[in-house]
Amino acid sequence: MAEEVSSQMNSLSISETNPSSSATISLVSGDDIVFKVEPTIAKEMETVQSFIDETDGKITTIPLPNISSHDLPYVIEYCEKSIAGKITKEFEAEFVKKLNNEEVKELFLAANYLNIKKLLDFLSQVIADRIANKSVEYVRRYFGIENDFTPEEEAKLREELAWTFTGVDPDDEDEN
Amino acid sequence: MGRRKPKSLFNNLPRVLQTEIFDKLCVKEQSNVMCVSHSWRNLILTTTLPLMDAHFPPDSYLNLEQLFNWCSLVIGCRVMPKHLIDMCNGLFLFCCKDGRADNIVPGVYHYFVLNPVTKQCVAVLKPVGQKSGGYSYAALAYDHEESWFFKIIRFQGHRHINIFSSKTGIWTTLTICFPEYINESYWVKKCVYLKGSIYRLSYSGHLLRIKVDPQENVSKQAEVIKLHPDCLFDDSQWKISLKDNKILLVLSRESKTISSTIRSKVNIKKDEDI
Repeated sequence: MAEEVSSQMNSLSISETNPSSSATISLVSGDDIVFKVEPTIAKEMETVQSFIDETDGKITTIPLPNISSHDLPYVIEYCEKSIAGKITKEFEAEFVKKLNNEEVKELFLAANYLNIKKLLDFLSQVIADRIANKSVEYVRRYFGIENDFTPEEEAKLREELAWTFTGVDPDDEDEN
Repeated sequence: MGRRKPKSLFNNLPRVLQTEIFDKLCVKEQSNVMCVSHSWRNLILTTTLPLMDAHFPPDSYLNLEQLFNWCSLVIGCRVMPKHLIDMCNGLFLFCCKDGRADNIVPGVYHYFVLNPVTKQCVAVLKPVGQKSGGYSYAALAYDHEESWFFKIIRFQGHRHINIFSSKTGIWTTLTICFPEYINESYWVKKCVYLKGSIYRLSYSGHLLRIKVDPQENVSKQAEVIKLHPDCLFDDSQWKISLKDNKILLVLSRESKTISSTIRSKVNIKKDEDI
């Protein structure tokens, strides 16, 4: 009985001397909106966590100038599901449905900045899916890339690569 | 919303992030986006190789097609199943002169050894850097249980073999001494590699065994194994293959296959020898 009490006291004293384990973390978006999150959420974001670790948990307000208040809730939502172990195909499908192309790109950058491996992996798949079966022109527009091939180069390249399409996508052209 | 529109932000992405995305595309899509810009093309060619289905060997036509598309992509010129010279324990061997990998002399024949599972491709200059396709036939010797290094065994006529070892990175030449009747007969263009030796069929009715490692005594380098005459039919196609570490001889005539009754006999010989 006495042992039990003393161990409880121990755990109490630990939590008192270690404020970061219970205090919420404030994430400040690029447009100065504060989001309060549980420390467990911050753990998912390696960049944030390493910031906390470096300051021994004394600093709990973290500025994230590269992330807007529009994108941050999505990141937090994903992290929450991730800790709860509830990243399912259904959740991911719903999650993606809400996002337009620009948002996907920004979240991808945010995931990279925050160093959230799972989210980055997931979003790179989303981007890959969104440019799949699209024309080269579409892909250029999507990524905002300028075509730096000369027309001759490009024609040659496409001709050389033409074989890669045969038989793979039956909708494209009827090849016999 | 008035949020910033990121312009060309993906061009400013670190390569690893671009590769993340490219990695998730199938072969066809990768080929497609290679037309987007120079930097994309180079990045895909140099870092990202298409994902393969986890199961191997491919079990459907589509997979096979993807496989050769992949081979073509990494070699840099189109290769078809007929260009596949040899397969050995998961490695593929091709020979062509139009490959476009880095540090390749254009227009000169190279061997390409590919591992579709680990997505590796190694280009090996043909000995003396030939511009002709002559004497391109070669076999692969590779068994990951023996060594992580592979060897290419190129037949230079019937009297010499050139051996490239990926361990040393150089070609060496060995002399092989077969009796005249073997040298004069036609050799089937298919080899199998088993436990340090390459086996090849001769239409004289013999199985030729060539040790891949140099032997002190030249006469030990190569050996002739006579096939049992009962199992040899005229007008039949001869093929050699491996199954469960045993050499299988398959004779086929017209459309029906007379599978080898001699299998056990050849096996017995092998077992004695090894």
